[in-house]
Amino acid sequence: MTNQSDEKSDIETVEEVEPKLKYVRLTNDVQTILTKDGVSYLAAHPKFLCIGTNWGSIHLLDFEGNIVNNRQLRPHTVAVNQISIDSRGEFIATCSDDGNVFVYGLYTTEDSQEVSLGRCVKSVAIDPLYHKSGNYRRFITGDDRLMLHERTFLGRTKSVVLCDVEGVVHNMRWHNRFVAWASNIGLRVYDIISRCSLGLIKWDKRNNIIPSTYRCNLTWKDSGTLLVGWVDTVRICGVKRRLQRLKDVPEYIVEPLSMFRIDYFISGIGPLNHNQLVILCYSKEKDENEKAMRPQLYVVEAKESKYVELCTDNLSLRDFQDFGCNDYALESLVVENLFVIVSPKDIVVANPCDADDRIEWLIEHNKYSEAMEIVNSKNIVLNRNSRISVGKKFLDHLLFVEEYVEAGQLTAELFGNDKKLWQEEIFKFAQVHQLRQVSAYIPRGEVTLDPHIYEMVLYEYLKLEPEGFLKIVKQWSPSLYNVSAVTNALIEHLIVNSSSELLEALAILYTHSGKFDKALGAYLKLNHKGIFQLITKQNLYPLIHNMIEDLMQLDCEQTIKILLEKDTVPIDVAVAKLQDNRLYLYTYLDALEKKDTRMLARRNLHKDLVSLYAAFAREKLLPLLKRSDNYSIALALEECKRLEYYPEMVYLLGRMGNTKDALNLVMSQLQDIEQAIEFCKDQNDADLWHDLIGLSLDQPNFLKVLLRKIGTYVDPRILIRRIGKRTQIPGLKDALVKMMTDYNLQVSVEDGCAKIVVSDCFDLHERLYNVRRKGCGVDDQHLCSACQKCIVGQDTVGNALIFCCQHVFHEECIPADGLEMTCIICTDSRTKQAAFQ
Amino acid sequence: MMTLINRILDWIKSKFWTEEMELTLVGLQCSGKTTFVHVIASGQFNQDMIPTVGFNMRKVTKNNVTIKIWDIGGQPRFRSMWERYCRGVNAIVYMVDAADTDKLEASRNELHNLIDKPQLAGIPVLVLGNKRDLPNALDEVELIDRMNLNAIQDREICCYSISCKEQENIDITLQWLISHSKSNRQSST
Repeated sequence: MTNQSDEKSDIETVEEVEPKLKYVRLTNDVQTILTKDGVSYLAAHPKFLCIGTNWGSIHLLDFEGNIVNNRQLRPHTVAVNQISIDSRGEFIATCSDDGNVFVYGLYTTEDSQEVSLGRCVKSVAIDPLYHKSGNYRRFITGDDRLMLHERTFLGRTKSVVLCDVEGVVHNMRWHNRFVAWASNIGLRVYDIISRCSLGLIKWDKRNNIIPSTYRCNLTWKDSGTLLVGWVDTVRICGVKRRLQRLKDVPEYIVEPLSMFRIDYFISGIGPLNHNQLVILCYSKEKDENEKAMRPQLYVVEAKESKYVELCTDNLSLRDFQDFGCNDYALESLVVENLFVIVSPKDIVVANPCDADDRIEWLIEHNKYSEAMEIVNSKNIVLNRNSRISVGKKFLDHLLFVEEYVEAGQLTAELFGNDKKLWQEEIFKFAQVHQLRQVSAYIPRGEVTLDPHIYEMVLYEYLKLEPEGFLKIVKQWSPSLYNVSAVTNALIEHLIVNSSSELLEALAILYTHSGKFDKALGAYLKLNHKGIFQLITKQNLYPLIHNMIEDLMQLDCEQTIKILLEKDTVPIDVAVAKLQDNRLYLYTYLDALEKKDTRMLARRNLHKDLVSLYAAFAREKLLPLLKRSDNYSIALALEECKRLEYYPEMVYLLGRMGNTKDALNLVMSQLQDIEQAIEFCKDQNDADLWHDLIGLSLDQPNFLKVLLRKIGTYVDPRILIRRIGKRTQIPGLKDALVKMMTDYNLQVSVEDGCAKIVVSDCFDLHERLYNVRRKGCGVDDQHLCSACQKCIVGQDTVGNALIFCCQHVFHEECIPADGLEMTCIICTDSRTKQAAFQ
Repeated sequence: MMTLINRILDWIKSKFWTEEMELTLVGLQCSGKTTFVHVIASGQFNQDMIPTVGFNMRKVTKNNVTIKIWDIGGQPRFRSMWERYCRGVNAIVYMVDAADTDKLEASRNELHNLIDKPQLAGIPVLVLGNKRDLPNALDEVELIDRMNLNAIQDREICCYSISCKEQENIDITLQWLISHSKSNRQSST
């Protein structure tokens, strides 16, 4: 682990394909050993590695290459051929061409064995359960035959030949009850319990390949699966119990599960997971100098008769040019998914890449988004990396390649509401002046950062993006940052570089800090209509007295609205302030008039309004003059005279009672006979008509109109008599005809009316008569209106009387007033009425 | 004559009733792990131990229990190996130099790091505060507090204050260990 960075540069990985395995070269003591000696065999145990060397020595190593100083391990005189370790790592067996086989404990001196066979012992396998005492103290050696060596009761070793071998035993692996071993002609699996061979898988006959020159690589994946790699052929064999137990036939059977050939010589094989295999490959070709190529580590997925290549790593093992296929070996620790690649001068441990490795690889290759995906996926266990650490790297990368927008988004996604992270990372944006990209994501809700961070963002906007500054100032709550500090910065900036956005922002900031007067000032300077909102929102009516005129200038309508809305600005004040600008004063008063005319009257403002209307809205003048009593007629008249507003003058004169002047004015100035007639009609004054006639006499056109219309109002004869002789009147005939018809019409109308009245009178009288004539019944319910007793009763003797008015009386109750008998009630009331009148 | 018979009986007993256990001894460097192994193996205190490189493997037989001990180097570069050697053992013995308060925090972090590994779940832990003979050494209570042992709830955990030099509390430590050997554990559970 310490030298991991070195290894990475040493071992080339194929570009673009994500590696499945990671490699760590063993260093420390092992390097010292390898400079003087070479590894001839390596055996791996979950807790340690055991190497045998070309010079015959044996070393125990930890997984970092440190020598474990335990017991002195017995050396051979020549190269160690194989080492076998029992399952608990307590005993090891070694063999060598020197003919000796040593078995000894790593903890005890007891139970060790030593056999000298006097032949080159190529392989050895110790019983995996050797640490258990009793029958398990045994091991198998392989040379030109397979021999089982068992320790007997008295401590002696008893050897039995299990099998004769065709050629030499190349390799042997013991797993549970099965021993797999390979010879020149094929592979056998031996069942140690039933002491029988389960069968032979023969090597294919191949031209130009001598079986004995290639080591057969064997690995037990589990107790039922054996991986075999020989020359360039991979076989996967299953060892199964037979379904039917037959006599004289072994209980178990070996069957091939898969077989395929690859393009390389196989130096080692191991299981990765499921159907995946790790194969240490040795190139069949040589390089241009006839030297060996780099060995490769292949990860393949095995199918029944073919394979799928998943990943290939070129291994730069030390001195690889000098070694042959059999010099390399691959040891696997199945449970831990760990592989040890052995060359005579190098030992490298390979591990499947875990999630951390994948992430690191992706980061190294700038595939950050994929790394983020892994990090974000569920059920991922990371030790060295975390979502945050990867995210930070991604962020740095994005900032480096200037993808600021994405960086901003990532930040939001990554940090959420984590105050600490935000505070740490946001400075990265500050350095590249890209705080604007994160400004939208900075937490401002439940979690807030230190004020200076918000200020930092604001300053950046201020310098680089005034529009954004305004937006942010509008968006952000003023509690996030120090308003006065930002205000000061803004003012300083405004001295150099003024813009409307900044002024508006200034106004908002002033508002935030409660300096409303300044805020209003800024708005005014800016001519910004936001001022009205501010005024209404903050109730700043007292503050606006001095700026009413400016406000009007900014937006008349809104100002008027504000002035009228509440009586917060006294009318007097407003009028006084607007005195200099008559147009605004007019607008204001006009609006006020519309809203409440009596108030203006009360405040004696109609006189001002009259002159304002006269100046700006003549059409409203006359209605005002007509409806109001609160102005000085004389002044108004003067004003109208000055402006030559004759209709108004006419009205005013009429109102003053100076109808004659008014009529004069109509006739002389307006030359409007129609209006004159109208005026006379309004005044309803016979003298005026005479004056009108008088004034019209020298105007034939007027006379014509007058002749046409006057008939309705006054006796036309008056007019006609006054028309001077020889006065030429155009259209006189028509006018006269019109006058006559009008007059006739009027007469006929009057006649008609009289007829209608008469007939109505008759009708009504008849109705009355009929009503009076109606009979009416009298029964015992009726009371005498005089004595209040029943009219018809047992004690009544006299006659009863009923009058047309429906009142009923006893005859004797009515005083006989001569011959006439009348209803006393009606007579009474009638007489009373008469008396009253 | 009796002694001879007794020895033969012991030998026979040991052949038939021997129990086995495997434990891993870890802790920061210079806390006295290898010394401890020596003390329980031979009963002798050796002042001048050299720092362990890699690991040592020892078997010690006490009261018919064979204890296989992985004594792992405590220097930082070996700490990544701790997990490997702690897998599948009967107990993890974590050695702390109770007199070296400066390193306590590092020690605590390493311990918690180690036992957080999913593969080591449930393995009992015995924390030994070594060097109690030194004047400013912490006692068990302080050690439990400083090592934050109360936070470990998912397994059996025990803490003793010992001195390899004075051979104090070695016996109770051994008792604890033996009680966690395979068969004892089975019978106790």
